[in-house]
Amino acid sequence: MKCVYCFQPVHPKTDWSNAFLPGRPSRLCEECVNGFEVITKGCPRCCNPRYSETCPDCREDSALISNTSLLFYNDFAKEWMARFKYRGDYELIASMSVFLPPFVRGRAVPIPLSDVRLAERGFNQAEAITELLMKRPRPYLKRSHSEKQAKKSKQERKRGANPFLPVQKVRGDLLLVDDIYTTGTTMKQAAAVLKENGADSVRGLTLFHS
Amino acid sequence: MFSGQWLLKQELPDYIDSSALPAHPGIIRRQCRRCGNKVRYKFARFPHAACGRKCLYCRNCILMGRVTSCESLYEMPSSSQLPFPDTLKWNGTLTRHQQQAADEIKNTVLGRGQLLVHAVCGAGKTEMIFPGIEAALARGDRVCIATPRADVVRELYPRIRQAFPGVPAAALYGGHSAQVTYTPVVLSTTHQLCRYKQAFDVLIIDEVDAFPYHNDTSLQWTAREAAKPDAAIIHLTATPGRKQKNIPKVFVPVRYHGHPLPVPAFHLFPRIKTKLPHIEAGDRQLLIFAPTISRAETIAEELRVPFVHSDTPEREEVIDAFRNRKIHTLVTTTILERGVTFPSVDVYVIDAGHDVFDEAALVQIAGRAGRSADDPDGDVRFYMEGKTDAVIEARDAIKKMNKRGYVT
Repeated sequence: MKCVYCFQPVHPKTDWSNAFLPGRPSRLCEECVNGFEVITKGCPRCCNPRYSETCPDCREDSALISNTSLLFYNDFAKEWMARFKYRGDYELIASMSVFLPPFVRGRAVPIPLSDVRLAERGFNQAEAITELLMKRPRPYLKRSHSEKQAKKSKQERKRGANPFLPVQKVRGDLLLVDDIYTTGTTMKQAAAVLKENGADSVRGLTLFHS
Repeated sequence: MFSGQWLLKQELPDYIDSSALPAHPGIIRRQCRRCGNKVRYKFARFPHAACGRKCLYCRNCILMGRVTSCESLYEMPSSSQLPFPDTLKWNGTLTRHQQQAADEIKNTVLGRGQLLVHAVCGAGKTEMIFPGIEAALARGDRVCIATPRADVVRELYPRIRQAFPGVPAAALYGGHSAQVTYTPVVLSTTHQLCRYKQAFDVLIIDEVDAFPYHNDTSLQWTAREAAKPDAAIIHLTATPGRKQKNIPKVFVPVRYHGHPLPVPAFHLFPRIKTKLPHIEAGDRQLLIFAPTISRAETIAEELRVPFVHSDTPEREEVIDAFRNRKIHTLVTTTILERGVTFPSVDVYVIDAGHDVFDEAALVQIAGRAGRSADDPDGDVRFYMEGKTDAVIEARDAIKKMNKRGYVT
């Protein structure tokens, strides 16, 4: 088998943990797995790896109860993201399977893309993550078109109007899924809309935390 | 504008009417129309929002934008070019052997044939192609010089600009977007060639036997596709493989300064720190080749010297610093094995028995030493635990080339 990221051959190792029960096969070679940094401790509310206690951003009250991020957004991850999201290499999402938790609670709501962005990119990266979690993506939200978040400053992001619109009444515990958590503004805006429309609780899951 | 190139729909500028352009499906019979990729694991499907189906896309050339099975690839027609007479402003002289090869190249360019030029390392291959390029430009041909290595493109570009100051030229290597303005001379890595579609009348491929071009059929396919069907194709190499059999050849056995190639000496594998002699002594700089990136890093750490490999972010700056003699010793992987010139260096190869050093690579590495006329010799040492076939073949090949050069 070839590594899904660097196309080098993968040599799965056999040890006592998988000798009798083969685990989930990794699509990444060992070198590429080591390129990513798993977040082990951080802000208890948003997983910000720079803090060990609640970070300043999370002290304010918001509709988003908590967020889980899996990996630190280092240079290796940035390159991965550039190829996955901006170049559109959809297959790369399979490389994340080694890092995902085996089970997560709640109905998954992927952060939607605006129609313009979706046409440009061809797929919604948050939906790809949802499918990898083996959950049904719930289309509870819509998004109006605005400038890319990545090109705005923190202040601009916070001041900006909420781009999310509800599609239907919702209920139950929801899980917002996105690719990256930067300031949390996107997640918090989406959570606020869901909460207003009847969600009991809203949590978040992202691959990366920058 | 984009002449002779493949463009994706999103790369098309607004002012070009896409309906007027010939459109091709991006993937035909499991082959990418742009890069020629046929390898199964380099294709994948994704849920395409535009057409609502699971579309096939090519992962081999994804860094140049996504080619999909449902979207078209647009072909920009090649524009015709005016002749540029008297462009060559290089006033060096060619040696007898170089002149012979240069004439062959020129004839091939004019006669639209194929030619393999086998010239030893440091024979002055670049200068030999100048008359051919001049002849091509005078006739109004578009010329491309392609090579598998980005470092070679970076080094070739200023030399071509110097020799042909009046001719616009472009250098393309990784991370570039499509070439917008038309240039009669294009320098490119073989990877970037897949942007072109029957664009060049003359295609010169330097270092044909280098990784990854020599065993990547998709790259060879793109090179053929980038040239016009009746183009002149010239292969340059110092270590021809066994593949290029049935095309005419010309052999240049002597370096341009007339001195023989330095013959490598074999040494037993030393403990690097204690045994490597005279690291700071001498006027010559020292280039140390390591088989892998991790080995390069450990060796550099032990000797406290800088290193470069393909992932070094400031690779260009380090190589420039070495070239300008700001660094005395540099540890490198095989990225600097060919196509680069440092005036006066000693070359040590650590673990020369490693698989990455095949015969061609070792001949090329040995050819880094003694490239200038002022210092035509250099100390070439292969450090290893035991001789391998490749090491012995490399030394024999160097000796044989020296012999051929001085008997005739």
